[in-house]
Amino acid sequence: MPEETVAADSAMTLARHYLEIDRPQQALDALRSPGSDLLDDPWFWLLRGWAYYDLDQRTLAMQAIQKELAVAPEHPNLLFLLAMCEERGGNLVAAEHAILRALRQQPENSYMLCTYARILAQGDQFPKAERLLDRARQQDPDEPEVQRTAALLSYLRGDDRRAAQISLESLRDDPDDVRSRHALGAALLRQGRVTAANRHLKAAARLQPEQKAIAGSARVSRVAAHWLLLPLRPLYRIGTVGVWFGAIAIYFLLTAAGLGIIAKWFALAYLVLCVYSWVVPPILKWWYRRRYGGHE
Amino acid sequence: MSSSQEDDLFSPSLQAIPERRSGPPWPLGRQIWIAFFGGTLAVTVMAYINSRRLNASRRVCLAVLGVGAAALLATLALDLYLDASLEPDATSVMARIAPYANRAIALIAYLILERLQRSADRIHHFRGGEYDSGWMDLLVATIGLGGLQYILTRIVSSLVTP
Repeated sequence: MPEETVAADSAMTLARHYLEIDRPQQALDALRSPGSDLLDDPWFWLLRGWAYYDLDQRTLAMQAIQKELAVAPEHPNLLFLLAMCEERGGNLVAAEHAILRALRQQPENSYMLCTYARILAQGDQFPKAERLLDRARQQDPDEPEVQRTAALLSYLRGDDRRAAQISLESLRDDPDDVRSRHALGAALLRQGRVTAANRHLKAAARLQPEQKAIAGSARVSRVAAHWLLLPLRPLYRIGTVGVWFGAIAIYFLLTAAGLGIIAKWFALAYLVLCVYSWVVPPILKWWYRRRYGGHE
Repeated sequence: MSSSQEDDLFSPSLQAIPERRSGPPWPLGRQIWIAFFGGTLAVTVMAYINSRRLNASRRVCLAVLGVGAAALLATLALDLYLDASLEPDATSVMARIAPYANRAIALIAYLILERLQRSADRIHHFRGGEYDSGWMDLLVATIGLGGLQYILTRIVSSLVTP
């Protein structure tokens, strides 16, 4: 085999490996000096496209595959990446069009079925999304993307408890699944379970420091877990309305029991807590942004 | 799966989302303040406008109006009952609770309205949508619609009470 071909194969294999371990910048570096063979290989452009997509550079990802799509418009993997890029750009109709063309070639591909389910959920088509997910589950019950998509659908429907449960089950199967760890941390944070959320999100940010979404969530949980916000933990856990109802009930119970002075002091303390909750979190967020910039 | 079900699964379902005419939605948590300070009418109107801004389905928008209407009726009924049963200088527990009972109804309405809007809000956030960070329109709505509810309550009370 000619030396250039061996080098080209090595570069592609290395790039594929880096993409599998979520190191897209290294994948791009591996593909930086392509030989003439590689430039005609759709897989070269596909790997470059995926690397740009993982680096959140959608436009460059689409540019990488447009030329190949003109030559091979029904290539399922190119169409799949196109669907992902359109989805990220907010063009759900175009994303659906692309993923349906890809599924026509590979109707049993569980990963593509999950992606289509996710696109539909963003268009508020939950019943059809659930049917697609069931089909993906039947095709490949062990595919991790099925559980991740199920967690996402639960989150988009507003069911945080179910989203956390599914993410936890995913992590039991694969403790290194960063996306499930991120989803679990985010679900726990929404439920007000700040300490547990912070632990999971910090772990996820350590494993994938390049992912802005994970770094952002980790920063939010770090603020919420700060000792200065300890008095606000009941608010996060019970919810604002629950705390208000509780405070009003306590006030009236104290008044009804003839403890008017204590009731007034309680009302004052509650008012101070409300003001504290308006003032301190924004200051902490500002301070963390100054200290750490946009990163964890 | 039958052939027709399979065709349905792999046929397009999405339509282009129309451009919002009225601006970005507000964070859902703001509506709790509208409920507490403005009352049932204020939180219902703002929740309905927010649902439209979130491109929520017609079913959700109608449900928001339905919940709001039911809560408003409950508020009016409670006001009429309290007006009829309380003496002007009453010092009972009932008299002390009365001003807050309407707020409690508004907060319960908020809980239901928030749940109705939650999915559309989550989708909006997931898709990287922007939110309206201003407070002025919410303040104006709270005061204006809160005042309107008070006037409506007085009118209904004067018509119904002998």
